[in-house]
Amino acid sequence: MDVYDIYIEKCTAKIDDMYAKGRRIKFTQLPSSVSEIRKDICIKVGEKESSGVILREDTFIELGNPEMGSCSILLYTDKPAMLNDGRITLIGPDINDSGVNNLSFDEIVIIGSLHGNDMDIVELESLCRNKNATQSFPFGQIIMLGGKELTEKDFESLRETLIIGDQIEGYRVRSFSENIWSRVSKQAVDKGFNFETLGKALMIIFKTAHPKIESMEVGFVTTNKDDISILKEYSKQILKISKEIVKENWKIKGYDIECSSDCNTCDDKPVCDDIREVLKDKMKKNSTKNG
Amino acid sequence: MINIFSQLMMEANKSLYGLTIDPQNASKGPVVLGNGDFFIEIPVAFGCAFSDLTLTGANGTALPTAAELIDKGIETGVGSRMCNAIKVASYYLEAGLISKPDMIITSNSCCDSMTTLGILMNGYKPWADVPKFTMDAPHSFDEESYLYFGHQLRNAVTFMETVTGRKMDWDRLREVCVESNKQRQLLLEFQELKKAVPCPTEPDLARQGTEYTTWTSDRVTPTVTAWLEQLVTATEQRVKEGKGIDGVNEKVRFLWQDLAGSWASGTVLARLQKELGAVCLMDYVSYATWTPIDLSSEETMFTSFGKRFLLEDAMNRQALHTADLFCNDILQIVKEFKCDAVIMPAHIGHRDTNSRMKIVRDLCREHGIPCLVLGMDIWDKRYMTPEVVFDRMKTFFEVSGLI
Ligand code: SF4
Repeated sequence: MDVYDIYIEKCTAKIDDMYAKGRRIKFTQLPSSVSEIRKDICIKVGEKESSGVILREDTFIELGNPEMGSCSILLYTDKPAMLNDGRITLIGPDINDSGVNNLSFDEIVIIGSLHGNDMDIVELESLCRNKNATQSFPFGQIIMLGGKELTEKDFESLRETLIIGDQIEGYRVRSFSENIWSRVSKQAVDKGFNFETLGKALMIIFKTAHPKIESMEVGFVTTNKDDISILKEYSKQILKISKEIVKENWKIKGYDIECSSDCNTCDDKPVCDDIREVLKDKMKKNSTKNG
Repeated sequence: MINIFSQLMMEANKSLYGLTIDPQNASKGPVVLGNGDFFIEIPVAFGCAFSDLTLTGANGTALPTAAELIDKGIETGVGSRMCNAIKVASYYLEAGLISKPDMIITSNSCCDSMTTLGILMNGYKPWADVPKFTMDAPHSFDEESYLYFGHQLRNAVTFMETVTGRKMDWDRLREVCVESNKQRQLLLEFQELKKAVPCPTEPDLARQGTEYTTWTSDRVTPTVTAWLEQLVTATEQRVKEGKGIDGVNEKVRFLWQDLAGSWASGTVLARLQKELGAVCLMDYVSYATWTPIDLSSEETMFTSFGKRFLLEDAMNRQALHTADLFCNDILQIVKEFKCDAVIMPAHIGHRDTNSRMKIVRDLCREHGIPCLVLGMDIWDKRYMTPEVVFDRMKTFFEVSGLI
């Protein structure tokens, strides 16, 4: 299972490159075992732990409103050593240093200039103008998994694990396809929820659901639309690989989900051709009969 | 009980009535006639009426004369297993009951029935002189497809300009898109609120809201935005109070993986909710996956339109693409909205969906989700009556141990 390896390398290289260029990057190293991670997390993780919905007024921050930039990537490999197990990487500001809710326009511009380039300022300026986005960050999420036993057949169940539902207290992912658009509640932030917490929660969920996972890394990007666009480019290519895996997995189950409607490659072409000939004859006969 | 929600429903319904044949015929020109959803922001910004003949047919099946209209549709020669919305539309067309449009824009999406209707419209002799434009919808969802279809929508604008001699006002289109983005955000917010247990209000308001926003003559107007804002605010209040739907003791939440059609909402679904506490959380039309239109440039706008049309229009999403996407949506909805069961109405017109029944059954079995396949006609209640549907669903909920 090495089809995603090139993108694991690309994502890792991208992070290294940003680090080398002095971008604001925070690394956190977690222990490998789920029970150890659980010992040090400020919110609850598990089925039904996020009570109900997070209302607009209870939202501290929205992550990944597609207008701001949003992207979710899931990669896995059968070479666990490719990953640095337990590492969480944050590129950009953290949830609790956003403070966007409480800032004036000028303050937001200053924060923007602290953590990036001019694009950040433009981005944050537009945040201020757009009421819907005043509490919003661009958001990219990369989950990388490694396990010697992981194969293409695990794709669907890994993908399903991405449907977080109500498993993370104070965090809800809004229903979305390739994007990840989520909300963090004020209450959770009061308890200390930040990207490290989210990374821990994701590790608990994935490692619990898939014992085959031997190493796992999570990366978050919250800088600006441009950085998210780079991930989106990767994501488009990754999606193509994933579609191929899905197609093959369905074939194993006995279904061709993307039959190419090309007559030249269809097994039933001779039957169709015969029918067409019969119809042609019939029409010819009819037209001679009708004069 | 009259409350804010029933008032909102009445308001939307009044506007939705405008989709029946007489008000559609009375549309002020220039009129574009289509066989399915055309990207709505375009005709709105262009200042012309857009009439979707499929919808007019579908709404015909809600009229008291529905049975007669359907039977007359069969006489037009379309296949007997053709979707009844299309049979009625064909009858309207062939009987000369539809006002002559200024232009026709059709596409090959999203089902074989609608494609057939497009062919009938394009070949309808009395309209031989009506300018026509056909768009080709790829059955795929990736950036290339969005770009491809976006270009066709752009060409449709040029076609409209040529026919009318008018020019598209690009600033107006931008303005319309901003309003449209606002409306979609509000609909998505309402969708979020439906995740609350118990469901805070009539979930069918999501379907009505979508139809009101997408299909009626009020679409993309501040009136609809205000309606949506009221809906979201009132629903948020109920979530805060921990209230469910008035008069309903919610016991079962289920996904209805199809359209509700013209009769199921007011009969079966309403009864199930009231009598058994079985709430239909989601159906095809109300499942919202929209991304905002990217206003950065003309190209990004049209690519967004392409994406919305191909992947985010509810019917196209479910009918045009792979079984994998279809199944994934089912799992996503069940998990996110805490549904206890999946109902596959298996509308007779939906050959695409019906070919996936075994796949869906297997999927549900694997995941331990109770699943019932009905095999009904969402437009014609004679095929499987509301009473039979109700009884079958009741028995299913009982044997699944849900009630
Ligand atoms: S088959 Fe489905 S999509 Fe096609 S016209 Fe009928 S209801 Fe609409």
